Amino acid sequence: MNHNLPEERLARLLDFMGKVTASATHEIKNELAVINEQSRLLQEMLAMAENGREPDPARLGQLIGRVVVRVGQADQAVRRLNAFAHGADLDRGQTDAAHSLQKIMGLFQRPADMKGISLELAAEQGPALQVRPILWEQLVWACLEKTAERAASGSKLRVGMSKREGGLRVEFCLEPPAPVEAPPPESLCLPEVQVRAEGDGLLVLTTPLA
Amino acid sequence: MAEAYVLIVDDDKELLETVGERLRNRDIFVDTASNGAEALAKIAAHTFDAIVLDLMMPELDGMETLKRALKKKPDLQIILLTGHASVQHGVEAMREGALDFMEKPADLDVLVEKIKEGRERRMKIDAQTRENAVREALRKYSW
Repeated sequence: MNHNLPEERLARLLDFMGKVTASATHEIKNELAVINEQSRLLQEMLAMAENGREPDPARLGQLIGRVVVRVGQADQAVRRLNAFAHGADLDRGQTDAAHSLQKIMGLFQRPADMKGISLELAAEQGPALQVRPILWEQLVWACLEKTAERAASGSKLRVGMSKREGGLRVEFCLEPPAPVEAPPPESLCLPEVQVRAEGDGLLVLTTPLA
Repeated sequence: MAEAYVLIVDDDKELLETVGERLRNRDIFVDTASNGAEALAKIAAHTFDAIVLDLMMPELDGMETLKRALKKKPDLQIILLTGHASVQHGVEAMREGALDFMEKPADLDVLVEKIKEGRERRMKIDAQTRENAVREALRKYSW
């Protein structure tokens, strides 16, 4: 991992990784809790069948179908967390910005759900960035947090990424609009990236292209 | 006759449905709410033996729902459930007046015992309140 980062930057990075991990594991634990309840109910229905109370086949089928869906959701959450964890292994290299945005927005879904806001991503398949993936992802997470800070329940947080001359343009804004108080701390910025408040949202500009 | 009347509050509707069905199989009468606001409305309208409340819910979380509910009905018996139990949350919940604090997935037989404990406590409080009212009436009329 990034051992040559200044202490404050490293502390913020650990904080970010802690938040993402806590949120993702909470999501996984919730899925497991539901799967546990559904499996136990199935077990109890079978036990009742042994005592002469016939289970409703339609209800059994519905429960088993739901278990399969929840296992799939838990698996997706584990995959997202695993992909995120491996991003920390990578040093400065070619970061696929669109893929990275998609990954972090997937991980940000739970905090967004807790605030009652939905997420929308419109990203052109962009060029790769010459940045450390984990630091870019930390910056994206911070922009999502800052934009979501003042969102009312029912809002939509939109992220749009497009190519611009010499780099990428990523916009974060709310619908209905609510002004972002301040951009993320400067210490999160990367030499290749600028972040500023623009209109009611945040604008991230990157250079150079890989 | 039902063993107890309980309100379960969780933002996951499938969890509500499944836990509800398992509790009903144990003769517990169950009502459900999928958020804090809905729970507070049901608490205001009905008398439950116990409330089983998820800690992490969108907008109005379990701790805030607990505080608001107890402010209106201080004798409520609330069992807080969470996906990430910590001593800190447990201490805070108990300090705020929760009957107990359990980690998800809760052992349903333990939960049923807690619900019944809540019912007994509520009945004792009700009996005490009635007794106090009678004493007060007797005192007022110097009987």
